[in-house]
Amino acid sequence: MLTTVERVQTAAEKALSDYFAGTDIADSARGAEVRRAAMVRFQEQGLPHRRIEEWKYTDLRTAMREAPALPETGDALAAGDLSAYAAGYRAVFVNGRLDTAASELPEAAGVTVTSLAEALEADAGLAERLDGAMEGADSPVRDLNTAFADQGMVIAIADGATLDRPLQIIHRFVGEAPASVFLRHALRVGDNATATVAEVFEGPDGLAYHVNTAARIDVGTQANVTYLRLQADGTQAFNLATLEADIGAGAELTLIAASFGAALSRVQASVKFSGEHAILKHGGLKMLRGKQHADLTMFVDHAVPNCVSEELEKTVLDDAARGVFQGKIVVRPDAQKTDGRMMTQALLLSEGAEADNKPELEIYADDVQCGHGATSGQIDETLLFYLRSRGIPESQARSLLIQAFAGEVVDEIEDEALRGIVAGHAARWLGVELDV
Amino acid sequence: MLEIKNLHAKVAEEDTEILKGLDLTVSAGEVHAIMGPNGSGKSTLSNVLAGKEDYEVTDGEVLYKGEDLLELEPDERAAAGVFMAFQYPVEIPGVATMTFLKAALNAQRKARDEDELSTPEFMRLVKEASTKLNVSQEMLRRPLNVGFSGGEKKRNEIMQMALLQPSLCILDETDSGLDIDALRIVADGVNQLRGGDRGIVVITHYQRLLDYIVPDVVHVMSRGRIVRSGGKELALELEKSGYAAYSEEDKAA
Repeated sequence: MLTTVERVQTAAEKALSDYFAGTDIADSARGAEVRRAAMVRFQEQGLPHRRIEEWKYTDLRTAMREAPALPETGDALAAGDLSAYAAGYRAVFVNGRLDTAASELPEAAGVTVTSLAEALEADAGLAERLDGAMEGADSPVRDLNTAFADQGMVIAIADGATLDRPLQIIHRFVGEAPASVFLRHALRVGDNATATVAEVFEGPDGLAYHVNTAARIDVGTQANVTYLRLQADGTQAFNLATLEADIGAGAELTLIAASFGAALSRVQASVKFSGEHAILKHGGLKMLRGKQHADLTMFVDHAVPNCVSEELEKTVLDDAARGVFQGKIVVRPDAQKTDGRMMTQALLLSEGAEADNKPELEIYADDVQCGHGATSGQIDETLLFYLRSRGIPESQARSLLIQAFAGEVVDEIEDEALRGIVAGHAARWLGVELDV
Repeated sequence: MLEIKNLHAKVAEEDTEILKGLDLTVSAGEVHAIMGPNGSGKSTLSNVLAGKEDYEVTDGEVLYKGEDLLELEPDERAAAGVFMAFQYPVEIPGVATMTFLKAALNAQRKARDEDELSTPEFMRLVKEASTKLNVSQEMLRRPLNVGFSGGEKKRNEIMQMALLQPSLCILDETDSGLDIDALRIVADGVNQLRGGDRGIVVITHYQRLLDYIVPDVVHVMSRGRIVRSGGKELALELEKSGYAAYSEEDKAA
């Protein structure tokens, strides 16, 4: 049925429509039709709001009052100091544009890193993988990404190849004028191949820039992939992300999402098992204060038998911060011997903080092991007292316990340099020196 | 070293007094044993001395080296040299044992205006203390007390005591849950800390531990007070006759 009432566009929705109308998409790498269709879907739905179940706790329509303009096309901006990052491979995007001078891309055999445009030309299957949304990943936010994102990194690891060092995709926002940045990345890891990729986000505090990224990850048979997301954006930023992953038989994917920054952030992740005996490990960490809001919404699709998924989400909230975790595991009728576990724990450091945990299991197979748990609480006074009784002052004892709480997720990061960077953010959040 | 005068205490927000006028004096270099039946107030005494916030002192005073102990925060008490070996040491997942030991040692040193220890110096001290208490490298690598057996936890407590070198040691039911081998190791660890100016208070229900840590003075606690004090032979007497006499005596009084 057609709606008879014209939906009233919000200022942000109207601005986004206007930006799109002002963009020349004729020669677009993604294809003008794909982009236009995505914009139409966005315009029909508008920004998601609390009456849509999956957005109940993150009312984007209300929160996103404005949409800053697209970045100026002019001289490229300098990335600045990157010494805080691990040595090794990096693709540096400054305000949405690849800074080739600051980047150091791998040139190993079997490893191909190209721009989205180049990759779409070289790989006919890529467009198809990027266009259709996986179940649990579709949203107006993803549509916006499809409509606007014409750039990004495409990483392909050939069968049997190994990316010898982690590749960091650094999204840095610089300058004093806010802008809306859209990027689309893809990672394809071949059979028996290994790779670690880290997406990092950062920018100045107090500047309301918006970042919308989407990434598609394909993990080949028996492949081993770690995908880390470190969101340390400025205090007024919006960071909206879509992650889609498909895991092949016998493969292992470790997803880590750590969120420290942004006024509002949301990661919508969808992971599908398409081959048996595969493993997904997800570790999520949020450390928030002030009025920060961070949402991780995850959909795990056990489409085939004999796969294991483990999710551990840890949230530390101070002041009036709000953390949202929505995790849904679907076990399809054929997916016998599924082992699916989900645990979400929130540590509330103040009266005004709020943690919303929504674990969901939908099980259609009868021979499975699935479980979920959710806890919210304060720092354990018994543990605090024990530490103090050994001479550790209260504030230091609190920090130790918070670090310990967060550490369970941080320790899942195998690469030492990347683990150190995330641990460093956690320590900075606590205002303590890292005792290495 | 420690002077407790007319101490009255209760669980905060409850009416019933648990300690009802307890007096105890421990001089430097002495080992005192406090024995008593369940419910006599032994745990409350140790919790009050450690500074647990769930307890409220309603009357009396506790002087440590002549200063008011009750005025100090738990961490200040530790830095001043008071150590409590807990009956139930907690497990703290995510806090590495070594990180914890270093934080504790350096926090105490800092509070006493001493320099922080260098890592090699710290490692040397830990090795010394852990060898004495049969605490393995593997245990030290684990998060604090996580997956430790009851005996391992108690050994870890005494190892911390050996490392921190306190002036006043309070052992709260350290023998509970220990088999005979662990009991011997723990007792040896405590005996090595005896002497000098150090005061040790051993709180226990059973006489068994006192075969290994021979006290200078034995106190019997009943209904929140010390009702009798004597030499080490008092412990043996209690072993034979039990606590019934004291409960009755106290009731009659």
